[in-house]
Amino acid sequence: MNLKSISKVFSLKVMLILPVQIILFFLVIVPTILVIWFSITDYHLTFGVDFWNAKIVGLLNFMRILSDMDFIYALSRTISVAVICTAMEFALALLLCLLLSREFAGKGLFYALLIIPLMIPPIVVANTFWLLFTTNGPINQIVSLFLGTDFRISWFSSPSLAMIPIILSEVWHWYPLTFLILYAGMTSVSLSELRAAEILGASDWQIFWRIQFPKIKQVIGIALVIRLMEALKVFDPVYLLTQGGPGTLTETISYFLFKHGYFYGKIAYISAGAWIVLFICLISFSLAFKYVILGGRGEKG
Amino acid sequence: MMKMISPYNSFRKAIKKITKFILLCIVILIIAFPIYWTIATSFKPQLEWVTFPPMWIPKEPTILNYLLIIYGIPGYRARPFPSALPAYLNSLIVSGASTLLGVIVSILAAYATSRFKLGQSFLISALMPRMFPPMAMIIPMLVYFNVLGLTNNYLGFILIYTGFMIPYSILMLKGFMDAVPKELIEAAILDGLSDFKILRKIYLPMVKSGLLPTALFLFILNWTEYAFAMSLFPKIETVPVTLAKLFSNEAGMYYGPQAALGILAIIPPIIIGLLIRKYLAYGFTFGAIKK
Repeated sequence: MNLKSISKVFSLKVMLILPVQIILFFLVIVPTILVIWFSITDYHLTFGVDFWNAKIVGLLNFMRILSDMDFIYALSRTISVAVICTAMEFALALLLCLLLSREFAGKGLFYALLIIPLMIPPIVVANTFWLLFTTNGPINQIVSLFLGTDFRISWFSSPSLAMIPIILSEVWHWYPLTFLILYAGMTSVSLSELRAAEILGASDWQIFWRIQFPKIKQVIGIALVIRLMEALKVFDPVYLLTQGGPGTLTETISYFLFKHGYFYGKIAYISAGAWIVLFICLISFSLAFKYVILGGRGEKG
Repeated sequence: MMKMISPYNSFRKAIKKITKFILLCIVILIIAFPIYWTIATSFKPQLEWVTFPPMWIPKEPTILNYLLIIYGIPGYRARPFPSALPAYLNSLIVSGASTLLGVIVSILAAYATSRFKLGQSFLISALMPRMFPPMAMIIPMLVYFNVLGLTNNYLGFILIYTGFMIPYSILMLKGFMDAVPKELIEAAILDGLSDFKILRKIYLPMVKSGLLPTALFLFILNWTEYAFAMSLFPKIETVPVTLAKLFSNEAGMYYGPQAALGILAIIPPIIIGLLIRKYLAYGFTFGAIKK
C-alpha cells in the first residue's frame, strides 16, 4: 500500500467517525470540562455572575460534599439499591428461564408477556406502582384481605418501607433484560447435549448447573455489568414516588444531584459531587466493558 | 438407557411438569398484575377508582378517562389539564428525528469500526454516554445549553437524544456488519470500488435486515426517556413529561386519566418491542449477545 492510499483511508476513517466525535465532544467532553471548572469555583445560579467569571475556591466544594452525610448516604444507598435490584432480577430471571426450559404449547405467548415491562417508559412504571401502592390502592387492600383487618399503610411516607415500592418497580421494569440475556444464552446450548443428560437421569437443576451454567458464565457477566450500570442511574421512580422522602431517606445519587443542582441551583457544590460520580462510573465501567463485554466478543475486538 | 420407564416414573414426570406450569402461571399472574390494574383503572368511572373491597373488574366500564386525556381535563375540582395530543406530536417529532439521525451517524461509525478495525478505545469512548447517571451531566449542560440557546429547542433535544442513544446502535450495527464476508470486500477492492461505494453497494444491502430493528430499538429508547426531557426541555413536552406533570399536579385526584395516559404511552413501544423481540437482547447488551 503506498503512502497516498494510506492517507486516503485515514481521512475517510476520520470522516466516518467525525459525527460521533463531534456529538461526544458536545455531550461528554464539554460538560466534563465544565463540571471540573464549576467544582473549583463558587458558581451559583442565583448569584447573577457569568460562569466564566466565577470565583475560584479550590477544593472547598470537594471537602464540603465529602463531609455532607446526605451525599455519602445517597451514594451508598444507590450502590446498595443497584446491587439488591440486580440480585433480585437475576434470581427472578433464572427462575423463569428454568421454568421455561422445556418446550410446551403457548411458550411464545408467555415469553412475549414476560418481556413487556422492559419496553414501558420508566415514568409509566413509576405511575403504575404508585397506583398499586397508594394508600387506598390494591396492595394495601390485598394485605387487608389476608389479615382480615383494615390495613392502611402509606408506603411512600414510611421511613422503613418507602424504598420497597421503588426497588420493586425497578425489579419489575428491568428483570426482562436479565431474563432475555440468560434465555438467549441458555437456548444456545445444543439440544442433543441436554437430551443426553436428561436420558442419563439428570435433574433440571443439575442440567442447569453442570451443563448450561459453565457455557453462559460470560453471558451472565455481561448481564450483571449492564444491569448494574443502568441501576446506578435510578431516578424516575424516586422522583415520582417519594421525591427522595421521607426526609432524604430514599434519595439516590441522581436525585441528590437533581435536587441540589436543579432546584437549589448550587451548581458548584453539585459539580464536585458529579465529578466524583463521573470518575467512579467512567473508570469502573470502561474497565468492565473492556474485559467483560468487548473482550467477550471472541476472535476480533 | 439404564433407567426403566415405569408408570411410576412417567407419573412423577407428569406431576413435575404440571407443578412447573402452575408455578409459571402464578409468576406470570403476579408480573402481569401491574399492567392489568392500570388497564382496569383506565376504564373505571371516578366512583370506582377507590373502593373497598377493591374493584377487580370495572363494573361500569367507561372510555371517559381516555376522552379526558385526548380533549383535556376541565378544572372542576383542581386545575384544568390540557389535551395530551401535542405531547404525542412532540414525542413523535423528537424520537423520530433522533432515530433517523442516530441511525445515519451509527452506520458511518459502525462501518468505520467494522471495516478498518479502529480498536477498542474508540468503541469505549463512544460508549461513555451510557456509563454514568445522566443527572451528573445535566447541570453543566443546562448552563451551557442556556448560553448557546439550545434549551427548549428541538435541535438541542434531537442532538442530546442522538448522542446518548447511539452507543447502542453503533455496536448493534457493528455486529451486523462484522458478519459481511471478507472475500466479498476483497473482491470489491479488486474491482476498484471506493470505500464509500463499498459501504453503499455491499455493506448496506447486506445489513438491510438489521437496520429496521436498530432504528426501532433507538425509537423505544428515545420514546421512553424522561430525565433529559424534563430538565433540559420542559417546554417541549413529551409524553413521559406530560404524564409526570399530570401526576405531580393532582396526585391522588386523577387515578383514571393517569392510568389512561399510561396505557396510551406504552402502546407504541410495546408494539415495536414485540416486533423486534428477537433483537432486544442483542440491542440492550450492545451487541454482545447474538440474536
